[in-house]
Amino acid sequence: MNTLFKVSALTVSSLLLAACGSSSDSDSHSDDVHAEHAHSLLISQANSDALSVLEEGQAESLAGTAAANGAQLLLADSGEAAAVITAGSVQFVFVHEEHDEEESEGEAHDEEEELPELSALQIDGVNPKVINSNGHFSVLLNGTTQFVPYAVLENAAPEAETVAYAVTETYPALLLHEDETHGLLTLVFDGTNAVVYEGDEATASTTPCATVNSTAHVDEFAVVSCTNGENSTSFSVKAEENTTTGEHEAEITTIAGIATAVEWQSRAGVFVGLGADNKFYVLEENANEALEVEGTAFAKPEGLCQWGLDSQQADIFVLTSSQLLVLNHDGSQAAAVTLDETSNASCDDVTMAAASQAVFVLDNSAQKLYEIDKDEGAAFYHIHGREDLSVNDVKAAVNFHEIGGQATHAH
Amino acid sequence: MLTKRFSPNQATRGLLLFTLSAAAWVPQAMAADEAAAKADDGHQYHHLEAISVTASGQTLDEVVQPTKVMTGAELRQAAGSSLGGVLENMPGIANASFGPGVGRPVIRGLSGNRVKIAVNGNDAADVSAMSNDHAPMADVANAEQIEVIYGPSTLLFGSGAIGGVINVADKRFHDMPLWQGQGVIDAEVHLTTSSVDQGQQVSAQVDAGVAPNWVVHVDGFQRSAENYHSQKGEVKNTQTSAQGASLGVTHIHDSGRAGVAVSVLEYDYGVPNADDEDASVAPSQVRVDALFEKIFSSQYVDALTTQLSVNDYEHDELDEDSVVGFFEKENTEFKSVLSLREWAGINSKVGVHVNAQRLALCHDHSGCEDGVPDYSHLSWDGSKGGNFDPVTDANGKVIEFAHDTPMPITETLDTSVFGLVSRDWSVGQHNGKQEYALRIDQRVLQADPDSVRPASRQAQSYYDDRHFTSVTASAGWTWLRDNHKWGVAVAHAQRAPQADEMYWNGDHHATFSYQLDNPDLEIETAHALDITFQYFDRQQQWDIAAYYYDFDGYIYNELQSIKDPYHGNDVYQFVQKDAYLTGFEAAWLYQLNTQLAFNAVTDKTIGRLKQSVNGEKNLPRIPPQTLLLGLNWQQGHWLLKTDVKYFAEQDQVAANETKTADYVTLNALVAYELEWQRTHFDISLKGQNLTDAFGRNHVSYLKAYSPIAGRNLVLDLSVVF
Repeated sequence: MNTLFKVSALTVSSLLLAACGSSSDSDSHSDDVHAEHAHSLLISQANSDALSVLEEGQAESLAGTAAANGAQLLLADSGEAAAVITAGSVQFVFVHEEHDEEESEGEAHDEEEELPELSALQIDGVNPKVINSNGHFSVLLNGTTQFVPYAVLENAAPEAETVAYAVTETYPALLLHEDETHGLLTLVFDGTNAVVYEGDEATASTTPCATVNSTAHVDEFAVVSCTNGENSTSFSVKAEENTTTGEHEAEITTIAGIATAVEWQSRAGVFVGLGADNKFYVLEENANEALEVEGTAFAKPEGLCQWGLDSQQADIFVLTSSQLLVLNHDGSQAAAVTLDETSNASCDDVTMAAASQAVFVLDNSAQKLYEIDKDEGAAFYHIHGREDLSVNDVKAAVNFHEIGGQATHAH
Repeated sequence: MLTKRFSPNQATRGLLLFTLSAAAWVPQAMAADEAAAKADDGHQYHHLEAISVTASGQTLDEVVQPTKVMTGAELRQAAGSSLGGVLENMPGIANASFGPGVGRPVIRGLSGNRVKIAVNGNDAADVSAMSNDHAPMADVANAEQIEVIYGPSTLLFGSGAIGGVINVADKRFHDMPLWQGQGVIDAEVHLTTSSVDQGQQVSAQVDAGVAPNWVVHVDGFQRSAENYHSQKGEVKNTQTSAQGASLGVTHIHDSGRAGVAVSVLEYDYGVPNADDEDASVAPSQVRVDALFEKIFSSQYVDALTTQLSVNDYEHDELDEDSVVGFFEKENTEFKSVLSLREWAGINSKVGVHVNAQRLALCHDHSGCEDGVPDYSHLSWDGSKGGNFDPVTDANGKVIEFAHDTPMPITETLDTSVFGLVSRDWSVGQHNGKQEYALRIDQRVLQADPDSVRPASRQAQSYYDDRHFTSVTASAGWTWLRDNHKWGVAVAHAQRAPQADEMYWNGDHHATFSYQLDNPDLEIETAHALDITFQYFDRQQQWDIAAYYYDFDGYIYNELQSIKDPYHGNDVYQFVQKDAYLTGFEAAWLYQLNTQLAFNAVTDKTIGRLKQSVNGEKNLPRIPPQTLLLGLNWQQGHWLLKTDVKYFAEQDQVAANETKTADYVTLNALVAYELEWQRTHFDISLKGQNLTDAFGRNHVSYLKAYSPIAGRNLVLDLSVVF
C-alpha cells in the first residue's frame, strides 16, 4: 500500500473523528445554570429603594420605580401577589405566568415561568396598615379601608374598592363575603368594637375590640385577636348563608381558652397563633362547626426570631438565628435544620419566606440563601440547596407560589 | 498487529486455544494445526498469532491459571461497546450495566473492588468500583486485546482482586521498532453503527516508526447513541456519548525501552430512573503513563520494568443541566518489577507498588460547578453536627441520615511489596507448572472533613487516620499430560476496605439512591480454591472450572429495609459479613466438520452469607445461571455464527432484593474478511436479541428501569493497513 493511500485514509478518518467529536460540543453543560429548583423570591432591602427578585442568589431589581427602602412585604393568601408597605405608601407586586414554548431535540416543551411585576396601583399615605382578607388586600389609610382585589393588580389601571363607613376605622376591615346583590359583608374596627357591616350599614353583630392585635382569614372563618383594657381575647367570625333569606350573615364567637394577645396566621385551612404568653395555639373546627383550640397550647422554642406556616400542611416554621425548626401541630419537633453556613448571626440578620413544604431562609451575615424543603412522602425537611446572596441587607422576603385551600391531612 | 516478542511453538498454540474465550475460540476451533499449516495464506484471524498477557509479560501457557484473552476481530464481534458488554459472553463473566453506555464486568459474582480494571497494567484509576453507574475508564474502542487474569498473577496488579483482573491493552507503548530502512506506518480504522440506539462509532489508530528506535502511536474514537429500545419501547435517559484519544511515544533500544503516553477519555450518558428524570453522568479523565524497561545482561537480573501512571479523574452527575454531584479522584501509581534470571529452573519476579489516591466529592442541589467545596473557614469545635436525622429500621436499629454528602476528602496511600515465583516440573510423562506469589500491603487512609459543613460532620475521632496491613499469598499448580491439563490454585487473600466503602455517605443522585457510610469496616479475608480442567483433541475441546471462595468479613453494598427519609429512595450501606461464593464454568467445542462447529458454554454462581439477614442468606446481584448454545461456520473469507443464550431466573435473592425472570436471546453474526493490496478489510453484521426478547439484568442496580436492549443490528467495518 502506498503512503499516499495511507495518508488519505487517515485524513478521512481524522475528519470523521473531528466531525463526530464536534457534535458533542453542544452537549456541554458545565456552564449551564441550575434550573430544577427555580423559585421566585421578592426581597426588600434596608439600604435600597429597589425591590429585587433573587435569581440564583443574585438580586435583580424589579422593573419600575419602587420606594421600598426597608419595606415590609405581605404575601397575598393566593401566593401570587404581595403588598409592599412603607411608612408612606403601599405598592403591589403580582406575578403572571409566562408560557414559553421551547423545542429541543424535536420535542416541544411548554415552560412556565412566574415573573414578578410591579402593579400600576399605588396607595400613598402615612403609616398604612395592610392585611389579607378573602382574596383582597385590605388597606387602612387615614381611618378608611380600601379593598384591593388580587385579581385587579394586573390591570393597566387597577382600582381599590372603598366602603363609606360612618366611623373612623382603626384597623383594616375584614371582607367576610362579597355578593353582587347584597354588597359586601365586612367586619369593621372602630377602636371600641368590631362590628359586622352589610354594605355601609352596621348590623347587630358586634363584640368589644379596642385594639386589634392580629387577624387571619380562611374561607368562611376569620379569627381576630383583640385587647380590651387588660383583657385579651380571640374570637372567630363565621360568614354563612342564611338558608331562608339567601343572604350571608356573620356570627361572632369567642374562642375559649385564649386569654392573651395572639399573632394569628393561617394556611391550608389551619389557624396558628403565637401568644404573648409565648405559647403557640392551633385552632380546629369542632363538631359544632366552631373553632376551638386543638389540644393544648405549647411553648415556643427558645430563640425564636420569626415564624411562619407551610402552605400545604400548615407545618409551623420557627426561625432562630442558627436553626430552622419545624413543629407539628401538637408542638412536637418534626425537624431541626441547622443553618450550616451561618455562624454568629443574630435575629436581625435572618429572615424567611415560607412556601409549600418549603421555606427559604436568608442570612445577611453569611450572605446565604437556604432552600429548605421536604419531598413528597419524605419524612424530613432538609437543606435542599444554598445560594450565595449578592446583598447583605435583606429586610423582608416573600416567595411567590400557588397556595391552595385545605390541608391534605386531617388535624 | 499483535506483539511478536514471543514466538510460540505449536504446543503453545494448542494451549492458547484453551485459554481463549468461548467467543474467541469458536471460529478457529480445531484450526490450530490447519492454521499453522496455512500461516501465510492471510485468512486466519489475528489471535492465531502469539498472544502474550501484556501486563504480566507472560505468554498464555506460562500462566498457571487460565487467562482469557480477547483480541482483534473478536473484540469487534463481541456483544457490546462497553467493557462489560464486550466480555459478557465469556464464561463466568456478567455485565453490570444499565444500557449500552456503561458496563462493568462481574467475574464469578464478584464485582466492585474485587475485580480490578487496568489499562496496560496500571489501575484504571476511576470510581467504577464505587457504583456501577460510574463508567470504567478503560474503553475498548482502540483496545488491542483484553485480558481476564485469575490466580496468583493478579498479585502483580494489586491486592484484593480476588475475582480477577481485567486488563485493557492498547498499543500506546511498543516493544518492537517500526523501521525497515524507513519508517513503517500501521493504521486501523473502524466504523460501527447500531440500530437499537442509532449508535455510531468511529475509531482510528496509527503507529509509525519515526526513527529507527522511535515509535509514535496516536489513536482516537468517538461514539454516540440515542436512547435504546427494549421490547417495551424506548428506555428514557440511556443516551450515550464518548470520545477519547491517546498519544504515545516509545524509544526502543537493545537493552530495553522507555515510553510516555498521554490520553484523555470522556463519557456522557443518561441514567434511567423511575420517573424518567433527566439524569446523567459525565466522567472525564486525563492520564499520563510512563514506562521504563531495562534488560540486563547480569547473571542475576533479567529485567526491570517500571511504570508510572498519573491520573486526574472527575465526573459530574447532572439533574437536567445542573451539576448536583461531583466526584474527583487523583491517582498516582508507581510500580517496579524486577525479573530475576532463571535459577535452577525457577523464574521469579519481585516488585514494589505504591499508589496514592485522593478522592473527594460534592453533592449539592444548588450546583457543584465549583467542584469540591471547602468549609475550612467555618468554625468547628470537633463535636458532632446537628444536621443528622435518626430513622429506626424494622429491627430497631437507629440509622442517622444527613442530606448533604458528608464524605470527607480521603487520601489513601498504599505501599506494597510482592514476589512471584514459578517453576516447571516434570516427572516421567507428567509435567506442569507451579507458581507461588506473596504480597504485603500497607494502607494508610486519611480523612479530612474540610469538605463537609460542620453541621454535617461526625465527631473528630471519626476522621482519625486508619492503618491496614494485609497479606495475600497464593499458589497454583498445573499438571499437563497428553491432551489434559489440570490446574489447582489456592489463595489466602486479604483486602483492606476502600475509602469510599468506609466514608461515602449521602444522596447518590445518579442512581436515585442513598449511600450510608460504615467506618467500622475491617480487612476482608478470602480463602480461595480454584480447580480447572482442560482437554483438547482434533475433534473437541473442554474447558471446565470450579471454584470456592470463603470470605471472612465479606464487604458488600447491602440494600437496607428503610427508605431515604428525604426522597424515599433506596438506601445502601457497605456491610461486612461472612460469606462464600461457589460455582462453575464449562465450555465445550465440538467440530462437526472442517467448517462447522458446535459450542456450548454455561456458568453458575452461588453467593451466600453464612448467617441470614432478614431470613435471607443470598448475596445481592449474583448473576443467574446462563447457557449458550452456538453454531459456527467458517469457510474462506466467510464466518457465520449463531447462538442462543438462556439467562435463568434468579430467585436466589438477598434480603430486600427482587427476583429476576428468565429470558432467552437469539444472536447471529455474519462476517467477511478480505485482503487487498496488503490492506485487511473486515466487515460484519451482528444481529443481537433477534427475537426482541424482554429481560432484565439481575446484576444491575438499575434493572428495574433498564431492561435488556431489544432487537439490534450492528454493522461494523474495519480496515487495517
